[in-house]
Amino acid sequence: MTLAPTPTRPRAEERAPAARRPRLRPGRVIRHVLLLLGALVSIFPFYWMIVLSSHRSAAIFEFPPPLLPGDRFMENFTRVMDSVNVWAAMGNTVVVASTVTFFVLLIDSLAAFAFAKFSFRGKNVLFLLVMLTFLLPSQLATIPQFLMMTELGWVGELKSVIVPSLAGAFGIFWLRQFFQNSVRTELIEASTIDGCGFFRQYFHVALPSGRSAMAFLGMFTFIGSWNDFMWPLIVLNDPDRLTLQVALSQLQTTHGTDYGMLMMSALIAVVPLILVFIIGAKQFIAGITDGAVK
Amino acid sequence: MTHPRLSRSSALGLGAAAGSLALFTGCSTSTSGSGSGGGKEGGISLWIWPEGFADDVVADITERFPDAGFTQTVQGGDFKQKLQTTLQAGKGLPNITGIKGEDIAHFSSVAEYFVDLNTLGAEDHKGEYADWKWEQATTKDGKQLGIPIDIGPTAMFYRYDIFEQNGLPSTPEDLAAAIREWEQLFDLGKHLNAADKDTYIIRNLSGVFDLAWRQSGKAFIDEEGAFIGADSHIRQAWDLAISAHDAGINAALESNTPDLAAAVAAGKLPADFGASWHLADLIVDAPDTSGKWHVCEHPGDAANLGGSFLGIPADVEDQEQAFEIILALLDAKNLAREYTHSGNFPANLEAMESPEVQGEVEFLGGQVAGKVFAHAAEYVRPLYEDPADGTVNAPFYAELALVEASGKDPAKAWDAAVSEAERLAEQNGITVA
Amino acid sequence: MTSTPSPQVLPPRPAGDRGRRGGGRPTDPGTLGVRGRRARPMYLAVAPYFLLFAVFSAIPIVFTMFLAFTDWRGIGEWNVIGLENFSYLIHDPLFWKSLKNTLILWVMSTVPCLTLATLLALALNASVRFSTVYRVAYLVPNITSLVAMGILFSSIFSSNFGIANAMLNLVGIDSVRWLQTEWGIKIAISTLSAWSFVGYNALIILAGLQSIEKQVYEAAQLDGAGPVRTFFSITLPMLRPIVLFITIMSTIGSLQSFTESQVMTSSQGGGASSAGGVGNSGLTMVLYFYSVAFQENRYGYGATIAWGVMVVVIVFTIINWFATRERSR
Repeated sequence: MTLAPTPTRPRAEERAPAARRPRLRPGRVIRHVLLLLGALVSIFPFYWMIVLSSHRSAAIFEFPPPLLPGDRFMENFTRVMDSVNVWAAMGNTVVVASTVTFFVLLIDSLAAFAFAKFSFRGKNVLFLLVMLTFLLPSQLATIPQFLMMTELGWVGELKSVIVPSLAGAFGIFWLRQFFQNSVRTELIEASTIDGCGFFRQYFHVALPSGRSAMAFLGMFTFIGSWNDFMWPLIVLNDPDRLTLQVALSQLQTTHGTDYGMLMMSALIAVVPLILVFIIGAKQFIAGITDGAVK
Repeated sequence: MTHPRLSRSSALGLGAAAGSLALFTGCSTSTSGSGSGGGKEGGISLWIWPEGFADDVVADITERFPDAGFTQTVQGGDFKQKLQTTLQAGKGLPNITGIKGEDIAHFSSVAEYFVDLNTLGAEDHKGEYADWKWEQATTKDGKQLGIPIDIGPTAMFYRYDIFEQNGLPSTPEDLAAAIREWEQLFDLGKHLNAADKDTYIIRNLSGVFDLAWRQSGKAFIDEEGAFIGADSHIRQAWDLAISAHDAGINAALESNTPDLAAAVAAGKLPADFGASWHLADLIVDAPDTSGKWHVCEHPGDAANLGGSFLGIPADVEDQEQAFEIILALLDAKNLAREYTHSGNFPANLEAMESPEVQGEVEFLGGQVAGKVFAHAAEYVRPLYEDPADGTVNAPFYAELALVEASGKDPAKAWDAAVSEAERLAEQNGITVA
Repeated sequence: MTSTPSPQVLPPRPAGDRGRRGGGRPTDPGTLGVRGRRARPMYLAVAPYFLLFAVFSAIPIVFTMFLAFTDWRGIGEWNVIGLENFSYLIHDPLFWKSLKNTLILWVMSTVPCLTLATLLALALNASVRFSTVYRVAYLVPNITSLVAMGILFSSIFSSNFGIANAMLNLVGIDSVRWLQTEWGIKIAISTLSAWSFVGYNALIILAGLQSIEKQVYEAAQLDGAGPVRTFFSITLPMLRPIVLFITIMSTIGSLQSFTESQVMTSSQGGGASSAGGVGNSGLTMVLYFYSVAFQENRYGYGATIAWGVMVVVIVFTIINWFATRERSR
């Protein structure tokens, strides 16, 4: 199927305008209202977060609650930046998320391609094992993983967050489904007969056709790694080597909750992601298209 | 052959660079001594939860023990889990660790993972600390797991201006005298509620229940491992909570929710029980009400909420020095500093008399809160806590929540709580009559 | 060497075709069977993932599952106690309640989520203007941290000071004590879950919609089918692979639901019996596991609960698969 939906739409409109026009007038209004409402609902909590982060904590408790941003934005911002070493944590998170994304893309695409287009002894058993762990919640692995990290001496180092993240199953499923549907078996067969080996096929067939699905997986992995909270919280303890979510969670002291600062910290954590996301949005969206449909 | 397209390869390249950097830094730091809590080059390391000991306390230790290489590592998240799993692994342990009061019972059941501080001379210092708190960290066969840092004797924080406005006793002495019995407190609550129907004097039923059974000096499991959760002391605490419910003076607010904070800030919950550290909660929740609070004794004797210990994991290096540092951290001067820093009431008897603890607290309208808590500390009863107590008493709290939120019939709630508690007790090896 | 053909050029595959079989030996359809030395690169390709998977995923999980047969308390010794934990599980009212909660939350979040997602997808499919803006907006819920959103939604659903009640009051309805009533808790949690995934699912469905040939719609219109009829008889069946993907993903995700419940009903520690808010209303299976294992230190029993979760997830995944597979040709 097409990579970017945009080209098809004008064609669609051209093909059956006459038959559809009379039905669509009230329909068009409803459609746009619906879309607008959907967008507002999606964005509202995010907007509310901005509002909360710009008020004093106590102001949040007024009823009705304030709906417009207040004047404490810079104050809350400075307080957060002073309490927590945000830049260091952000730097650590960039390192962790990029490393994880890179290796996930590499490792998962190799394995997924092998699973998708080839049959070899033991394949089904291996795949079943992967599927089984996908069905289980990640919290199950926490304590044994922590024991393992302590044994390895990795506790407190970024390694301990990066390496286990590479064992996730989603990427394998996602890319396998994609490769299955988009890479023609005949092509593989033909190129094999021509003497093309697995890795060549990987580089020249799988990777190019998988570009958008991998872009999606990359973004998805990056975002997931950026927002990862529970495991880093357990395994990181060096104040200089915390990821962003962990560092910011330190603001939640045992005494009460300063909601203004809390929301500001959540905002700080999300803004870089939004930037990355806007830059990569087209690929992300195109990737959803390709991975799911094909 | 053509290589993968530029945009993808540059992205991959970036990732590869970042990745190699991460592994490289990972490798290099591991050779220079891991950051997993061990002190720099064999120094004495301390693990504690946020916010840790105050800067001036840490500075004092480094001054007094210049060659010890003392470092404090603040561990966020689930402290008990990190400590426990690291103890299980046996590697990467700190020389000194904090142990939370709520976890000491659990760790007492695996005391072999800690150094018996009596072997390092702890017993000689027992008299310096509140004895009932000291005993909380003593195992059945006399081993000492930790030295207490702070204690949490309870008192009642109240808005004296609101009490005054409503013609109620408002000085700490007057109010304490007027509410020696629970019914008297409830009557005051009714009076306040009659004046303003949104004002309540009880936070939630669980708070009353919790305080009341602790005041009895017995929990839900006795020292022989038998279930006593259906006995009269629990029943009385339960009935007390229900009478608060019936009196219509219950705000039914959950702790640590924005609703509670808002109610406190707006003066709709003008009284609440708490230990000394509750002050910090008030300061965060209701900063604008500074100066309008006082503290006084609540009905009955004081109970204890919270309060932690410092201990030494088994088999670590430099145990003698670690012990000396513990004693230094918990001496009168430093604990007094801690009081001003975090509001934690010291377990050290001498610290209780210190000028800091005996100083005026601005948020409390200049009252010397330390006096109230020191007085309360004298009345706290030692309480035996079985590791399974938290599991077994949970149904009672769940049922109380149902009573106050959904209007469940209290009699049915009691029966449900007891039967569920008994089922859990049996599953956990507790004998049920 | 053949050059890489661009996928657009190839005709779309009908639902049933899976490509030719290779060489007469039993292989999965659509794959090339390889054996012996020829299979070495495949093993090599699969090895890095499997090494990591085995060490960091499989072994920890197997360890936890093994603990279900012991009485481990998170530290110290363990004794193997056989199936005792399992017999407790079967008679544990709290486990069954957590299962019920999980399923109810699943329905309460998935049904509105997918319905809205479908409507949005249909609308986007026909619309032209601002579609990229809409798409970006719809994906915003997915990039914010679920923990932060949980805290935010807790304040939105706050009984006395939340926006939800403010809006209700505007239209003359009394405030609801959301997080202090059993159904309120469920509504709040499922709203968060649904909100997080509406946009994401909408875009996936949109992708599916756009892969349906326009001629199909035209033919339907010529036959006189109205929009609703067209949707149910034509669109929906043709979306089968998408529907399958989404339902399986959302099933697995919902059955493993944890963060929303934990953040929005977090109490002062205490035992599992008081977890999940009033009446344990927000107690999902994984939250129950977490309370028992991490808060009450009953690791052995916690692992047994994990077995329960696994069985339930497997059962439902199989049901899902059969329900959506049965009708394909």
